[in-house]
Amino acid sequence: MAQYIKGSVNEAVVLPPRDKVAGSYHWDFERLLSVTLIPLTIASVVKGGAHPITDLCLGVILPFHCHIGFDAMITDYFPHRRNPVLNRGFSWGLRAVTLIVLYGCYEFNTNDVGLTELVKKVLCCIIVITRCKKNTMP
Amino acid sequence: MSLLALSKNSSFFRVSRHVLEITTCNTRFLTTTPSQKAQTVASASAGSNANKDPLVKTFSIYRWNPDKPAEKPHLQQYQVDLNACGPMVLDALIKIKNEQDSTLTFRRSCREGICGSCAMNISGTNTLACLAKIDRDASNTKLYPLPHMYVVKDLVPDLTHFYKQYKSIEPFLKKETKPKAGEREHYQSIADRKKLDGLYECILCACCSTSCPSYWWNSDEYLGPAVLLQAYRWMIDSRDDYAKQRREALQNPFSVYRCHTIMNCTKTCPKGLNPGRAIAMIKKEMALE
Repeated sequence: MAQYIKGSVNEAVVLPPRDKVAGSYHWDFERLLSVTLIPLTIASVVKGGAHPITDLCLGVILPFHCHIGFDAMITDYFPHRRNPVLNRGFSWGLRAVTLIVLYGCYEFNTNDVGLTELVKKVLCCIIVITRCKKNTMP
Repeated sequence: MSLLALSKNSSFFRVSRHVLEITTCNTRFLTTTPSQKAQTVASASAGSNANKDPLVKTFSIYRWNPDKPAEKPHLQQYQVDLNACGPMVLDALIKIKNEQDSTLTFRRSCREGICGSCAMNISGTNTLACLAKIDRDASNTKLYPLPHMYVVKDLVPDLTHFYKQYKSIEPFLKKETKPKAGEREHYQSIADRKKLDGLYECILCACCSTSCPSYWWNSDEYLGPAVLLQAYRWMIDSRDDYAKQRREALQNPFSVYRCHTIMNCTKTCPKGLNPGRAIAMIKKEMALE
């Protein structure tokens, strides 16, 4: 049967080469970012305003958090062994977009309201909208 | 029962019908229509069977013949009287194979949920056919092979890669030093043995791995919940000395880390095990190293 069986039927599968950076360190880093975002978001919603520290933290952590999330999607659906060209294309595209977003966050923090205020406004709006919907639903 | 008629006239089989039934059994003539003796037993113990109206349900079963590969796979409908059939889906399958279509192909062995042969997709869920009760209220039961697996024939999937992955985690005890001359037992405390509960009972039926979308998309390199459950079983076995090396072997983006806690595996396990939790424990142990 035409299959992806490498080697004979009795041989064990060869596990990919060991790489802690791509393995557990990557996973640790991803969770670390997610965990630091929790107090940052709560602080932003509670306080709001223009706080340079939270602005900077959000402006760096959010793009990296999203980058890692999208990168996981690319490895899931376009793994390098199956779609080498698409994988490389999407990965570099993602890196370019992340750089643009990083620059955009810097611009937003310096010349505009700031990410802290944005997070507060967006999340409060969501809460308000859901509350309105709850009240107006029959 | 033409064989019986022939046998009756033959002098060699000039014995009672009882023995004739035994000889027909020896010639592998499987039948589920009850013999005279069996009928008396059945009507005595469960007389209600004969009085029930036939409760006919449809079974839509995935069929594909590798001898005619150009014919597309299709669902074939079979009608089964549930009042003349055992309660489990495997009973219905065997009844169909005996009475209606002997070309229907499926794996089965123990009929009690311990061998893992009859794993298939029953009405959307991966379970063992011998443990899945036939839904008496549903008009139609759909039987498919395990999802996203190459099909050998009808309901039989090709599990070669699955077994190769199982072999790759070295599912055996590994000790640093050989046991000394007098000591032949590897002692283990009761508390340490308790850690293996919920892990050793895995029968490698592949229901969980074939229910995992990550395994569907990346079965080449992602090991899947079944194999990872067993990897964890050997990692935390107190008698095993190579736990660190076992974790080291999984340090790559694919073997473990394609799991995104979808948790289809725990939901579908026919033995009630929790592969999702085992994978989370592996991630935790690897993270702390």
